Amino acid sequence: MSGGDRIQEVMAARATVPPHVVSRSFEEETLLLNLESGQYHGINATGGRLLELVSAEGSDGNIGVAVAQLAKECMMEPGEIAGDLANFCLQLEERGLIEIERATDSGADAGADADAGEATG
Amino acid sequence: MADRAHGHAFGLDVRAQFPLPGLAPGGAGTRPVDVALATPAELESLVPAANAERISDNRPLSIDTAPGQGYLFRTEAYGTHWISAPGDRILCAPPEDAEEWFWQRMLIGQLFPFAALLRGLEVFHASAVVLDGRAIALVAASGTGKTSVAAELTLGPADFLADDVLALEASGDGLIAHPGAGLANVRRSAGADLVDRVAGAGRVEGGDETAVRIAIEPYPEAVPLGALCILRREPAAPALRVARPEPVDPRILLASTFNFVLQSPERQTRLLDVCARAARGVVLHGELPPDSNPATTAEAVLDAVRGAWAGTAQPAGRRPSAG
Repeated sequence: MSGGDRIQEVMAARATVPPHVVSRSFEEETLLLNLESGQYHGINATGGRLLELVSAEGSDGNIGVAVAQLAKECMMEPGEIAGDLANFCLQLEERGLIEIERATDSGADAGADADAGEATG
Repeated sequence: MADRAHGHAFGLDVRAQFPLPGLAPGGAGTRPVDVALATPAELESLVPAANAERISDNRPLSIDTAPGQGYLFRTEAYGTHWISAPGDRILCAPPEDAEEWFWQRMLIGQLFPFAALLRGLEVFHASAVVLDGRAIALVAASGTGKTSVAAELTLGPADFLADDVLALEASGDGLIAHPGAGLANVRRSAGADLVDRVAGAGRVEGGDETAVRIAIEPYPEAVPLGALCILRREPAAPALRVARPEPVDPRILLASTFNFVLQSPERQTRLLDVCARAARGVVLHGELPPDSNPATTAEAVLDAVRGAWAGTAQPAGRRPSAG
């Protein structure tokens, strides 16, 4: 998958913070605590704001929407920050700090359901 | 058996079956803890070795636990002790020939803070005083001088709140600080003059070549945490300096805890929350050069805290919430 495709995939995906991750904001950073590993992770203000946006009440967790809002707050174009924030999200996912549901995941599930329906029908 | 001591410390309502100096009078409706004596064999049977996991081996103290069976503390000098899993019972088996003031250092300095943690409080490695209805916590590694600085502040305009361990509890948007035991271990290295002045303001309970244990009446109730001052000896520091760090490093706050042993998810979450609340208040860093002494450090802390509080309203009198 090319870099551009990876960014697009992440922007189309939804992110959730799993129950085993707790966070608290400090002056210039947010600390994430992974209760399963006992490890703390520090993220900067921009990363902290992104997590706030995807976790906000009423948000469906769409990363692209959150990036667009963040770009607006920073008076930048979404395209200018999408790459860095996509990589950021992937790093958080790697550390078990967020879960990313990709659009392709949903499509694969729907396909499997359809197959099951056919098999039992 | 009738209580020989009843009072509160570290947010705990303590009822002991033996004399226990240093408790603030009354239970204040906080978390009850019953304390009694037992034999070493009785305590060893409570956490059988076959089921036990060693969660700390920081000689001379080791701590074993088994699910639901509590925590067994073993030391050579201070005896064997046990805390129930929920932290509402403590049993002590001190060495037969140990003086009470000596082995009770274990009870006051380790077991009560551990029980406070089990009962939902957080404990910082700090001494503390009360000024204008607010707690000033002095966080520092052992040997830095937090007891001595707190003693100087107590001999001045402040009231004694806690020595070496400070129990903190979330309340509203902030934190409240609970009185510790009314006992301070003042190191002889702080100077004979300070030791004599503190002893004159309190009552000497015991001592050895290193420190003198002095009973000091603690402030009687929990108060809002008004300032957290982190002291550090800096050999290269040109002068004594107490100021707000820019920014406050949350890792230093996390490292201020007194207990690195209990790592349940609930406790870890609580520690993070307490640190976030503390960071939103007044946090100061004190750099202590080699030539600093407790009196000048206390003065610098007082100036910095008063400067930070300037213009802020004094808190109304508050009682700690029921446990």
